[in-house]
Amino acid sequence: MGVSIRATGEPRVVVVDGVRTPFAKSGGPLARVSAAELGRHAVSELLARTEIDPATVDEVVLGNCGTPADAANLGRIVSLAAGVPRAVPGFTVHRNCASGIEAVAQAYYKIASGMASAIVAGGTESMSEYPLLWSRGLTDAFVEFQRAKSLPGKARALFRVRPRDFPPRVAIAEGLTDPTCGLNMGETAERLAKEFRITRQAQDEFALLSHERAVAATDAGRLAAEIAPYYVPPRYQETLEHDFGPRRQQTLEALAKLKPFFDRRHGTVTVGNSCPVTDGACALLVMDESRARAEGYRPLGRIRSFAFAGCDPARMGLGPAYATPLALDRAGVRLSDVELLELNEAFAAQVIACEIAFASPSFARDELGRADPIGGIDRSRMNVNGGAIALGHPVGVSGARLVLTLLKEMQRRQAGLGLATLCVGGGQGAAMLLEAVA
Amino acid sequence: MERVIPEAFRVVDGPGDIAVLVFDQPEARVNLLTESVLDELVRVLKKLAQDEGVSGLLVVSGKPGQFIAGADVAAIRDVREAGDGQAKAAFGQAVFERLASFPRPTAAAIDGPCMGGGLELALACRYRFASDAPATRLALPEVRLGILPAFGGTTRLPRLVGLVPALDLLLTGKSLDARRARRTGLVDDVLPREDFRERAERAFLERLRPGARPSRVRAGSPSWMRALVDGNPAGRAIVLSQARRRVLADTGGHYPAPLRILDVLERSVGRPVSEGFALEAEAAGDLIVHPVTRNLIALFLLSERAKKDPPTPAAAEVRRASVLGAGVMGGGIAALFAASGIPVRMKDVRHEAVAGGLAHARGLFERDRKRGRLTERDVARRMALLSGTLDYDGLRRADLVVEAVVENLDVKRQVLREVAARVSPRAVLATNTSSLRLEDLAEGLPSPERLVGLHFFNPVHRMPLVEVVVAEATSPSARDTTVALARRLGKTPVVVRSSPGFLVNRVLMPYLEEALRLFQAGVPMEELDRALVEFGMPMGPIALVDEVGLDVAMKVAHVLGDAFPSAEGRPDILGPLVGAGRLGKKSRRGFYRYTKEGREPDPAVYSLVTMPSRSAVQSGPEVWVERLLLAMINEAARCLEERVVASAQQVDLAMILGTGFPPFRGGLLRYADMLGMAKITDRLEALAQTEGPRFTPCGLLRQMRENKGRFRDEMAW
Repeated sequence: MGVSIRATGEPRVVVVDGVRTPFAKSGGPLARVSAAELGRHAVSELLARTEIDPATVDEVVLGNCGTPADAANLGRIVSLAAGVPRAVPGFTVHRNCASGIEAVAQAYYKIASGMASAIVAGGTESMSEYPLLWSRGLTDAFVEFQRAKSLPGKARALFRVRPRDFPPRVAIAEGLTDPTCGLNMGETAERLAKEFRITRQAQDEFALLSHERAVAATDAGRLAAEIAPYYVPPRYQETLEHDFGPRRQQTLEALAKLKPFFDRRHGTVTVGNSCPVTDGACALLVMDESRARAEGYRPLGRIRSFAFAGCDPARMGLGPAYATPLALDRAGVRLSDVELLELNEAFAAQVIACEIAFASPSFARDELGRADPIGGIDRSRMNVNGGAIALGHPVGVSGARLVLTLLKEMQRRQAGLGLATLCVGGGQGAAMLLEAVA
Repeated sequence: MERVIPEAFRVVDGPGDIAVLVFDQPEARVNLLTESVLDELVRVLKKLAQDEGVSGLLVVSGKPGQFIAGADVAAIRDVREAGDGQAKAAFGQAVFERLASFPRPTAAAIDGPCMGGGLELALACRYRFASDAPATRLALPEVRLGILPAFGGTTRLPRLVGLVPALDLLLTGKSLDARRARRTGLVDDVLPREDFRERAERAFLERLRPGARPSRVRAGSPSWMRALVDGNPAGRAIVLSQARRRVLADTGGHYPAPLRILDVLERSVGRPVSEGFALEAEAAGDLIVHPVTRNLIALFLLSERAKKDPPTPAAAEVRRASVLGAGVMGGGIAALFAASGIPVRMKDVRHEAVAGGLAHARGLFERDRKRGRLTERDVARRMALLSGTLDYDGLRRADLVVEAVVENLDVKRQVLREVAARVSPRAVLATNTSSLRLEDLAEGLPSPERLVGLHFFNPVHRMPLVEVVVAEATSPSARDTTVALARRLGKTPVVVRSSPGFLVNRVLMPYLEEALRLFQAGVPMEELDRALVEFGMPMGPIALVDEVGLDVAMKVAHVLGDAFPSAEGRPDILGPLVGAGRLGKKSRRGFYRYTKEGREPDPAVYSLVTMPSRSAVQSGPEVWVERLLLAMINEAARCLEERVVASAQQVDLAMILGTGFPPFRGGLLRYADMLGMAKITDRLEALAQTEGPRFTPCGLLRQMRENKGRFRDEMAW
């Protein structure tokens, strides 16, 4: 697998620019805004800011996890709503938490293979929009009622309903539970905390760091550089300029007071040291480098390599430790060459577990079959503008958001090489290496 | 038949022995019911009636998407005698009566506009089928021209759909789409537009089948209403008297046609159709020579011409637009773009302002949704075309930028300069100034040829006029692009030369100023306003100042005062009122006080009556009205003299569409023609003696008096 994916003469793929909506905790200010509308805002602002002629976009690819019932193919729906001409096709990708980065990967495949030269890639997610579902029993009864031709038939259908049929199924809870191992995402984080012996204190400290960094980045305008303010319909009385998540007043004491959420008695994972469910969207303009330059763009950076890898669904939080070495090998570099790192913060426990696994020779030997560990992560270079614990994690979006935040920070620091990596529900990891363009 | 002249009708065989009568006027874009067409129709119907092999007759149009546009309005204009009009109506009735009494069943297949006489023809058929194409619209718009449907339509419509829906159509002239027409009972079925003629043939055949059930869907009036109204003289009387009251309230009794329609219905509903026809024809004769009708017809022809004239050969397509300034004006303009399907980006300096613009636009769309004109999806689609920003992101993509920031020369100049540096080199810069000269705004612009004025009137979504302002430097392509765009936005553009106040505000200002002078002389505001409303203005001049805003009016007055200084000075009443926070309706206090119940004169304002004049007060409404109108006429003539506008007709169109000058008067200068140049100059000279030299008739008026000229004869200046 250690093959560099870039042979000489192959087209180079760059990210020209990107923009996202502010992120807001579910049930917050974006609760009534659909995933399609969030995506429309991100894509139309991307088109406006890059001033690209939308007719020359070859494809719109968006990540999304909780497909709304009325918007089956969000990539297409958002594309049309954002004013991309109808001749430009669009589709939606789903790789759970890595859907946003999968969209960028799709753009890469198409451009590298010469099938496209400009692609809008990103993600959109309204976790507020996830519905309540009727139980099987209630659904069957409803269908029978509809089909029954006679009054007695209809009555029979109604009598089939049992009290236990009434409580609805909660789509978001079911979506965040792994059907293979039966654990929900928080429980997989608990498992890592126990296995890697990560204390509550360590998790809370990490969560606090995330908030502090996010607040600082917001105040310094670093996050504003990637956010298109959103005028919240239908009354437009609120303008959302910043993420609705980072807590200015967050303290260790406050974090310590929270009850463990997933394992009430022996657990350490709380809502305070986990990422919140979130609404938001992000869009990137991915282009063939020679076209981008011909059109006068100064790209944010170039896609150097990427990789997806599978792992144990019950320990999905370790995904970055499986995907990162593949991406590094494909680029022919080492972790020590990486100057800046975005590692998605699904749970503080999971991030810390990754830090341990990255540095661990035994993990490298037993799990990756490698002689040397991946390398130690320097926290001062990781998630420097805060992460999902503070900003939020709209699942279909975060991959694209990490690429955007990373590239903007690389540009500020004039960093040469950066890594964006995520753990993926269902037991996968995703990693993408990005490099500065000259 | 062998004939040399091309014919408007041909008959083709349809399935099941039906004859399909194809109306296809040669060398014309639309089918019009001219006299020769009607002559030919009589001949064709006569012949077909004798053909025993014909099982039914289906009338269709040979022009795809165009059924029948109605009668020839220019021909109506040329009728000079009431008797002639009456005879023409009677002839049309006789022609359609042949269709109504055709020995076999008849039907009309309507695809495209079906207007006036076209609908009357369809009404004479037994069945009507309409296509579901959006272009299919049915209407009897005669009332808008000051006449009535007199080819049997006024009589037949209430018999078909019931009196209440018929009144709605006859008195407003509004059009129905196919779906509504079916619900009203006006058409029997709506068929898909694809293969429409074949489908209509089949639908007709089905109804010809022996034993076919007469599937009349009569949704128009429910049966209880028919029993209560249509079949009941007392019910009819109540409905008609209510309608009369509403017409009088809406029109001030200035328009004879709707009242005459009510007369005809009053005397014909429930009587044999022949009596209705006679009444229709008589009414048509009387109305057609009525001066109001002549004015309305002239105005109609004028506005039709304005849709194409001036032509725009150098126009570029506007695919995207930007609006600078998201206030009420900017938001309204942006909404207009979105409603026309043009993506538009609003820029302002504060997020609240941008959000306010979006909220304003959405409010306009939501209002239309609540009235059933838009669906929720339409609103969402329009809102998706709007975006907002604080910086100039995305500006380069705009083909046209509308500057709608505060009316201040320095601010506008600076904004235009900033924009010019950031737009695409092809983009048109349109400034929505209401009075500033383009030459002043263009100062420091790298390419002044791209600057053009696009003056919308408030409220943007309601006012049908825009002034397209051109300077010497303005390029033909900038002008044409803007004129074409204004039409696309559904507005009527009038091209005016860059000069202070342009046309409408400049002509209106002397009128308002004379009103203020009369007020200062002690004329009660409500009496003055009432006098002008009775003349036909939509509101009186003092109420209009309140509506526009005293501050805005003052600003425009200053601009004009600087441009056209006068030794007499200007009324100095607005300054103190604005200083006291009386900005008009928007601050709930101007000349009037505004409460939930409405407005009432504010006695406090009368302390500003500084030059009481018993003679002015006692001279009475007629003299007040004359004084205000003469001031306007004199100013309009000066505009023509200075070539601010190309023709007297354009002045008339602009004043009607821009200020609500009463349409039934035909326009300001048409009204002047009616007064006559001699009277106008005499009165102006007299006023110049008593009131001041500002009334001195301008050179053009004096010259026209010498030449016994009329404005309407001067097509172009």
